[in-house]
Amino acid sequence: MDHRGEGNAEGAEPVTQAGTLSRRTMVAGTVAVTAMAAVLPLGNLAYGQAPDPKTDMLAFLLLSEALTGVSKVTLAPELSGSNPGFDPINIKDAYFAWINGHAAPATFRKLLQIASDNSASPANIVAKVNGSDDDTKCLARSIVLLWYLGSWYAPGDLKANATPGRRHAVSSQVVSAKAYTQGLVWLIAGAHPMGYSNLQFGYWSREPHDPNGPKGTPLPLFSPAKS
Amino acid sequence: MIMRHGQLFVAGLAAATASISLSMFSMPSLSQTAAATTASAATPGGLNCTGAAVRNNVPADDPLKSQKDPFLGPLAGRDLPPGLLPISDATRNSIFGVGLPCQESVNTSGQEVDELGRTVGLDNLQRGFDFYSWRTFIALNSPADGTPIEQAQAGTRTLWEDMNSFKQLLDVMLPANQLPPKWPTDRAGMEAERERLVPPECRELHRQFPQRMIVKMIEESFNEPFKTGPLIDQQGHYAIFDILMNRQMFNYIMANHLNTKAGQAANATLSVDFPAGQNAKSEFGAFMLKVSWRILSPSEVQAKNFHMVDALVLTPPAATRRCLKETLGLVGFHAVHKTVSRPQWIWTSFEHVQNVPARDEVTAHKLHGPYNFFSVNCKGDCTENATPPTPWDPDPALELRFRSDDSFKSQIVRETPLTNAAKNMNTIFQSMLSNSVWKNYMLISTQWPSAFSCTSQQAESSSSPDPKTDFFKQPDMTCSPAPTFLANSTLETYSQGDVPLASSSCIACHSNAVGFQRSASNPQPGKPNLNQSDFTFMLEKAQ
Repeated sequence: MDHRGEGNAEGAEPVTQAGTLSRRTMVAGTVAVTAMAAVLPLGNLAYGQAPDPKTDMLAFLLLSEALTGVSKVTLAPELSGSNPGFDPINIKDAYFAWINGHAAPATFRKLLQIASDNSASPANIVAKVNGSDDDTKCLARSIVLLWYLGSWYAPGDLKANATPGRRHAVSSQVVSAKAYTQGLVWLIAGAHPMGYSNLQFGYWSREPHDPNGPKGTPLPLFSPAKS
Repeated sequence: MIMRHGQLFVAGLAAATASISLSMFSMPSLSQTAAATTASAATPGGLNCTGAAVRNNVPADDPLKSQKDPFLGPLAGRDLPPGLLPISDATRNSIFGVGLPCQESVNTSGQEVDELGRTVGLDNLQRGFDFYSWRTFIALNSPADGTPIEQAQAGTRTLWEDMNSFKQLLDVMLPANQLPPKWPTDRAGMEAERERLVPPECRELHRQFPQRMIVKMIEESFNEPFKTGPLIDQQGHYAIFDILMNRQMFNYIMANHLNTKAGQAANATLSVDFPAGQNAKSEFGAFMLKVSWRILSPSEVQAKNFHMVDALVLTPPAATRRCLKETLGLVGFHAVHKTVSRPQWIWTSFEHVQNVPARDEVTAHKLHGPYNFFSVNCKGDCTENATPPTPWDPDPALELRFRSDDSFKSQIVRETPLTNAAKNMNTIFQSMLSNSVWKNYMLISTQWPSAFSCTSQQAESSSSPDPKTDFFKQPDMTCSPAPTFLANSTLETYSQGDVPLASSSCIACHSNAVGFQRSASNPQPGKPNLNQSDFTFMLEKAQ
C-alpha cells in the first residue's frame, strides 16, 4: 500500500504511508548529514555490544528519518540549525531504549550500521534495508510503526503476519503515556489521540494544515526533498 | 517536573548555537529599580520593569561563556561548585538592585556542559529562565517601602502587595450592577476605589483595621484547579488562593471591555492579545500572580518563618458570609509574565520550603519537618495526596477550619523532585537572603515554551490589532513547554506527576482558556478568530 500525497511547492517528493519499505525516500540527507556531523558523532558500531544511545543516536535518527520520511528536525528538534530548538519531551531516547529492550540486539545493530554506512543518502538506507533479511526488514517496519503510532508491533509478529496464508491480527503495545501522545500520525494529520490535545480551542473549525504545503507553513514536518 | 533530555545529544549543539543569544537586546541603563518603583506617591504607570541585565557588556573571553547570571560554575550537578559561596556583596547588589526584568534574558551558551565538556543548550536555557524567575521573585517581594529585601522581615509589606502594583481579580470582575472598576494613578483615588469595594460583611472590621489586606473568597479560592479539592494544612485550615493582575493587564481588559460577560460578548471579534514585556523598550508586559496562603497560629506568627500579611478574609458565598480577621502566611507564589519572545508567557513557581517533603525524602525516611501540609507523625488514615472527604465547601461557622474535630488534614508529598540545578540556584539565592524571611522560599521551576520556530510566529501584518504580538497559533499553540510538567504542591496539589493531560502543565492547561466571546470560531478563512483568551482563565470570572 502506498498512499501518496501531493507534492509540495518546492518540488518535494510526496509523503508516503509509513509501514512500507518499497517507496522512494523523501528526505534530503546530504545537507542534513553535513549539519548533523557537527552535532553528533557517528559511532563505530562494535559488534557484540548492544546499541548505545550515547554513540548511536545519530545513526538511529538517520535511520528513522529515512524510514519515516519525517525530517530529523521534527524527530529531534535539537538538530535545527540557525533557529535552535530543544526537546523537553525527548521521545527519541524512549524509543531507542524500548527497541534496545525488545528487539534482537544484533538486528538493531545491523540497522544502525546500515544507517551509519549510508549516512549521506536516505535512499540508500532504504535500499539497503530492503535488501536485508526478513528479520531486519521487519524490525525496520516496527520502528516505522513506533514513530508513527507510539506503539510497538513486535518484529516477530510482523514477520509471521507477512507469511502467505498466515495473516492474522497483529497485537501492539502502547510504549508509554508519553508515546501515546507523540505518534507522528497525529502531528501529520493535525489531529490528536483520544483524551489528549494541545490543539487550540476551535481548531476543528479550521481548514486542516497541510504538512506538505507551500513554503512558510508553520511546521516543517518533512525535509526538503531535493537529495 | 520532567526534564528528560539526552545531554550528550544536545551537547554538540554548541557549535551551531553558541553565538545565538535568544533575547539579546540593547540594554539601556536605567536608574529605575524595583525599590524605587514603590513609592508612596504613586507613579503614573504603577510598577515598572527594567530592560537592564545583570551582566552587560560581556567580554569576548567571558569566563562564564555568555551566561546571563554571574555565578561561576555549572549548577546542574549534584553539588554546588566549590568556592561559589559566599556571593560577594557586589554581585548580590547587582542582582537585587537591578529590578524587575521586562523580559527573560537567556542564552544557549553558558557553563552547563556534559561529561565531555560540551555545552548543553537546554540546561543553559533553563538556568537562564530560573535566574529570571529569581530576579522576578526578588523584585516583586522587595519591601514596598524601598528598603532592601535582605532586611525584609516576616511582616514587611511587599511591592506586589502595594495597591499601585497589582489588583485582585475579584476587584476587576465586578457584578454587572456595580460601576466598572477603576485603577486611578493617584494614591487618594486608589484608596477611594478600595473603600468602594469593601464588602459589607467586612466594613466594620475594615473601619477598625483599615490597613489590612482584604481577601474575598470564591470557590476558586479554596478548591484547586479542575475542582480537585481543597488543601488542608496541619492546623486543620483551608489553604486560601488569590489571583492578581498588573496595570498592563487591567488596562487591556478595560480598554476591550473584557471585564464583563456582556462586554466580552459584544467584542466577539477581538483576538485577545495581552501586551508583552520587552527589554529593548523597557516595557512591562501583562503579568499575573497567583498566591496561596495559610492561616497562621499565634505561635507561627511569633516564629516569623513566613511572609505574613494581616488580612480580612471574606468567606465564600453561602447562606451567610463571614469576615475573618486572620494573619496569613505565604506558602505558594506563581508569577506569570507575557514577553515578546515568549507569547505563551513565562511561568514561575515558588513555595515555602517547609510545605511538603519530596517523594524521595519520604521513601528514604529523611524528613525535615514540621511541614505545612504533611505530618511526620501521622496516625490513622495517612493516604498521601488524597483529596479530602466531601463536603468541601467551608462551613461559615467553622471560620475556615475544615472540620470541627480536625478529622482530616492533608498529607501531601511532592511527586516530582526539584532538579539539582534548581536546588543549587535556590541555595545561592537563599544564602544571599540569610537575614531575610525570604530565605524560607524556593523556586520549584520555570516553565517556558521551548520551540522557537513556534514562539517566533508573530503577527507580520501591520493590520494586526495592537499590540501585534498575536501569532498564528494553529495547530498547537503550546510550543513545547519545558519542563513538560510543573506543579506547585499548594496550587496544583492533586495534579502532580507526568501523565499527559492529567498532570499539571501551566502552558498546556492555560492554552485551553477561553472567555465569553460567543462568535463563529472562524468567520473569515485565513483570519483566525478563536474564542481564546491568551493563556488566562481570568476572563472566565467576568460577571
